[in-house]
Amino acid sequence: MKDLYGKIAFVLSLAIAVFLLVDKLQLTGNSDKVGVVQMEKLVYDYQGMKDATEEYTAKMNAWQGQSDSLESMLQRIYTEMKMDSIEGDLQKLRKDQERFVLIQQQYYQYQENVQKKAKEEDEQMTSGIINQLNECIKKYAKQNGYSMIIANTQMENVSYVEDAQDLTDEILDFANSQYNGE
Amino acid sequence: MGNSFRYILLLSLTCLLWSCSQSSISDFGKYVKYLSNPKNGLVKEKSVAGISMKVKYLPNDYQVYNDAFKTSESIDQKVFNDIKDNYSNSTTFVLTLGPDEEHKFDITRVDLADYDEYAERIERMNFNFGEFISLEVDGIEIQPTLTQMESLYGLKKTRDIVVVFNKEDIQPNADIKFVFKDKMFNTGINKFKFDKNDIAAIPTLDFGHRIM
Repeated sequence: MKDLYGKIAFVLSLAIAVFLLVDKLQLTGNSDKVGVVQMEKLVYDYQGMKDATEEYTAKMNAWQGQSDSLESMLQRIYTEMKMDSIEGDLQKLRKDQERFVLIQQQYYQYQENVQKKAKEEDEQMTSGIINQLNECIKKYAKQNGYSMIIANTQMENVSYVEDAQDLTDEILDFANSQYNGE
Repeated sequence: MGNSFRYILLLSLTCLLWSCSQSSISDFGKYVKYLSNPKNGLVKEKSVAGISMKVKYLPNDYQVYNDAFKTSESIDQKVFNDIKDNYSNSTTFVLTLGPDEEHKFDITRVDLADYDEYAERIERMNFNFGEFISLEVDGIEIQPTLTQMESLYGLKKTRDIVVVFNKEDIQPNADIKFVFKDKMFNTGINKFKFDKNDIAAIPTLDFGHRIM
């Protein structure tokens, strides 16, 4: 009987020891894994950022083209007004002045709208990129067992990180493959 | 003797592979199950900032079935051929937008300040959604010919947008990337890649027994 109790006690203590060991391994394994990502490099080398910037620039160029044509129209009327004064054609001068004021107003209005729209587009582009990258970092951390990934920003909030803990390249590859729908 | 055995084996293997790649399904339920199984590569999903985006490739057979047998069990051969012709020149996807698993909101109302913004979003989703969607095939950008938001009368938190492209615009036997350039939910440019092999492997839907 004593032997049986002894065996049960042995098995129980073995089970508790194994449980504690597994628990300890889990604690020292996944949950302590910490990495750092250099946000500036990640954002600028991210394909999504490159594509969005290209699109933004194309849009800006189209708007600038429209603005340039209004500006050259103003330049042309101004030259005509100078000729009107030299030739003393006051009636035409008055008409050209009216046209000039009208187009000048359109030009200012257009510039204002473009600036507003550009700001909106820029904000939208940036928040889209940041949201996508945040999602990628979260997904990468979960898939690779990281309990924390610290984002090092332009403020250099992480002053030193060992190469092994710098995950920028790995996360960049991961984010680019996610972006490409793979 | 040895050589003939090898030829027979090779022939059998070829036949087996051919029959596997040209499989056919007669049960519509099984067909839908095949299309919905992410392992078959015809459904792609991602989440950004609480928004879930799911893109599903809809083969023509699926649409022909829905169109032809929505109201009747069987159909006349001529009518069936007409319906099939209607879909033969199109490639269709469905984009489903909604909250991800951690959120609960109506996608048409999220992050809006007032009714004006809601009205603007509904108008964009209903009538201008094509501006935000394209396909990338072999480096070429293709615009949709039709986009339509399915009306659910507020019964679901998600919205389905059916997107149709002209089949002739799409290079055959190439990977297809469905691109959603989001301007409404701050999720950025989202790409969903559909592998040419997954598209080629879609079984045909056998309509035989339902056509008179």
